[in-house]
Amino acid sequence: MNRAEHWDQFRGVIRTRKGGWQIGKGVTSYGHSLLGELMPGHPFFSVLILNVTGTLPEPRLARWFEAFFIAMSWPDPRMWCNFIGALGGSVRATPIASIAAGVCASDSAIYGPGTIPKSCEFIATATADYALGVSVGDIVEREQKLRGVPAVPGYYRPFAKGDERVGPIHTYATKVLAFGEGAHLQMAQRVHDYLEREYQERMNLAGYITAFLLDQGMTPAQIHVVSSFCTNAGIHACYAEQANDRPPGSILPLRCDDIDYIGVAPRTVDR
Amino acid sequence: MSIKDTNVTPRGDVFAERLKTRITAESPSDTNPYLTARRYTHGYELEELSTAVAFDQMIFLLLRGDLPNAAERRLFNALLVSFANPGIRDPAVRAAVTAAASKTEISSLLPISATIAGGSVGGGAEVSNAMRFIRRHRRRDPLHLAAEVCSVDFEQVADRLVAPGFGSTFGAIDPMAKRMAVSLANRCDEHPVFTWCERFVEGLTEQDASLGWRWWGVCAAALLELGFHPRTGVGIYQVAVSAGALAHGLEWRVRAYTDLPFVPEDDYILEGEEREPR
Repeated sequence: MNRAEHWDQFRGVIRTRKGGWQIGKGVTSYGHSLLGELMPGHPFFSVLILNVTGTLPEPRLARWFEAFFIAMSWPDPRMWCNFIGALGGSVRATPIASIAAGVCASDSAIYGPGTIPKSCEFIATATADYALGVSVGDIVEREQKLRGVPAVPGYYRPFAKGDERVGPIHTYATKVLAFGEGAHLQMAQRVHDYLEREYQERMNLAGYITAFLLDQGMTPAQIHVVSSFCTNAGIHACYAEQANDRPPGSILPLRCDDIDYIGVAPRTVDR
Repeated sequence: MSIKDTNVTPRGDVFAERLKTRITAESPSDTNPYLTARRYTHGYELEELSTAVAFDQMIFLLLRGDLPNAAERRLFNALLVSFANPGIRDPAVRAAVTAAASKTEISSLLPISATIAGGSVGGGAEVSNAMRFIRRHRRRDPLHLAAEVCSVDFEQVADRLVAPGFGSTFGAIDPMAKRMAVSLANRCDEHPVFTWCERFVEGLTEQDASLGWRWWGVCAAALLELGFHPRTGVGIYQVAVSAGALAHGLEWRVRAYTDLPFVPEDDYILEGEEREPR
């Protein structure tokens, strides 16, 4: 094949497996009518999962995702992504721009949905290796150490050890939605037990949700995409308060002398 | 201990009580501590900077802590100019154009284009990744390294990206990137990074006639020549591209949305699923 042929086949043409809008006829996602079938008969999260994965999930998985997003919806502007939404509100940036900025901020290596790829990679590899006979201790101890503690993706969070969201969402998943514990979640529990015993570190929500969703057959890439705006409701809250209920500039204003300058002394440009 | 019973304890992180910075010093006005009487950037007072330096020097000062010397300025300015307008086909510029023609808030044009300009293939993250690649391997023989990276088997669907910043572009060697590498190298008194990269590119082309510099690799080499850290690459690329993206966005903000091509039904090809709504 001439190398340019690859691009020529997409020039002026969109090829998609997703669906789309036929003007005057309707909108489809993987052959499902958006307005005739999905809108009246399915929750939002079912459509989100369908749009990403191509499969309509069983209803309880959509309910589980709703619970997960609620668990991530902290209306507290001290959370970094929420603070950015609040700053947007305080300068009267538009809600869409501000909330998008907050969501971008949660694309982080230490909190929020940005942690999902590494967490998926860890638990998938750990589960496979455990099945081959590698011990939990070896699996944990081979991770890079941070201040002497294995920095295991999915088992560290800023501010606190442990995660108050894990218990409630696990109870909801098992007791209300009747999900079982698959191989990844069982592995996640083993790692949790080892880290708690040896280092007093515990599973965080990213560790839980990635193990749970891998057990549901989702791929790491699908989990990352579907979860990408999971922090948004907290950002909405913090934007709305500053934009609608407070005068401009009211979120943590700084005086000149609130800043410690540690740079070079005043100097002049050498002309 | 079950995950259901997870207890939560403070980590005991000690947080700073105040912000600190090496970049900006501000002295307060006598009457209002929130207002600035004087602002200094790495020691230089704002009013003096505004009369004594150009914008490229200001960016360099902000990022490096010192004003560039004459040689550094020559290369840095050439770099910013070279990358300021990737043209309307570039995804970042195209994003600004698409948003502008569809009457998006003008204040969102730059964040939209800068986000797309941050991509890891054909965007600023490729610049940073290329900087890391060059730094990691610069002590190695470039011809051996070229043979090594080309020996990796992979399924070739589109471009062959043998290393960040190096490979094919639209299936071939990018002629502008090749010329730009020479042009920017010629702006330097000494150019050890470009010299190493040119040897690496020679090795790549020997292995496969479609492989050479990629646009983002050229940017990476220039930034390393100037002594920038790889983490700054993506941002400097985004800053440079933003000018072209903004200009094209503003051009399109006053046009009708019908000036933007819309793929007609016949060219919108649904693969693998029923075309009619169920």
